[in-house]
Amino acid sequence: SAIAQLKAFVSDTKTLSASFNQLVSSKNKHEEASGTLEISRPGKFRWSYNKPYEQLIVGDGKTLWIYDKDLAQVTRKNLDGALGSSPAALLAGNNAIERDYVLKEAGKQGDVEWLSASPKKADNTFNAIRMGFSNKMLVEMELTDSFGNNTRIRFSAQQKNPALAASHFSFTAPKGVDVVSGD
Amino acid sequence: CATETVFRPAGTVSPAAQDRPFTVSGRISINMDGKGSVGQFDWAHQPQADLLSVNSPLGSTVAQLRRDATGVTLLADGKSWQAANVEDLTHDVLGWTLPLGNLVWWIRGLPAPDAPYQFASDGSLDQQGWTIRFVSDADAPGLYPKRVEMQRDKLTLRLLPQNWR
Repeated sequence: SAIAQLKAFVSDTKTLSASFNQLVSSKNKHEEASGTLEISRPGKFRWSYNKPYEQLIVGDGKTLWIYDKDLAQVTRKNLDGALGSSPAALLAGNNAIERDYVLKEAGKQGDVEWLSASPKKADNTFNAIRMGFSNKMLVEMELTDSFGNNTRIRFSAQQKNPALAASHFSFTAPKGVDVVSGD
Repeated sequence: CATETVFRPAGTVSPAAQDRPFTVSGRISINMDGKGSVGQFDWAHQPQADLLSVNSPLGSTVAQLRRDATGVTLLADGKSWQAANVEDLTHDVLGWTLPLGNLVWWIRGLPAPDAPYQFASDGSLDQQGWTIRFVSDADAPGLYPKRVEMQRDKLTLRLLPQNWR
């Protein structure tokens, strides 16, 4: 079952690295972006967009940092309001998914088993989240919001427990960049 | 990165400048006295109506502004607010003023036609209390600026209009 695979995925991967491809679609929008993801449980992650522009989202365990290179601005927020910026905040928790979401089996497509996760607390970011697993590894996520935006994220080149130094998840703003509070 | 220069609009702005529809998406950063955020935006503009969505990196809409003949509505955090114009609504609800009426021109590198303005020696524009810098790539100048930086008192807005339709 997808829920059993989720539990195995969380317990098997103390750290994880992967590439991702993101497709956001709505009535008149069709936007692709891609990048890389690294996670170190609990609470540490780097979600880095490389195409079509560079944007780095880092969770250092306490604070969420969003650095947009072209706009030369870093936004810092406390980590718990972070899901809107990156699913990594959800993935990097030890039990954040089971703690904050009601999980239900959502069927099988090909060799991917799906679960749906609906927030226990009213969350104005996403009203429906689905996660797809295949041999105990997260392969896809789908998030929809109340404005009709659908975000599909496909993961690839997943690596379980790569060696990632803790310092890899600390963030210091580059010189000359504005640091702004997002809370 | 690419060397940047001041963007200079091709034609001059005549008072009877035509306000015509456009759709543009890109990224925006807001810095109001040290507080703010970065987001992606989609903006469909017509002379009598605007639909502006500001989205998270993941594509979820964080805030949406709708202007039409009846007034302006802001949807955010599962709530909705109404006001007569965008400037008052954003100031009252978000704590910073979005000069959407002027942005219709500024985002294209032009001064708003219906208000006095002045270009400073460094190419920046002063209009209605705002200082606006238009930046373009030296080696790839386009029809519109690559980046528009707007500053007034403690508020700095930066826009990167990327896809025009």
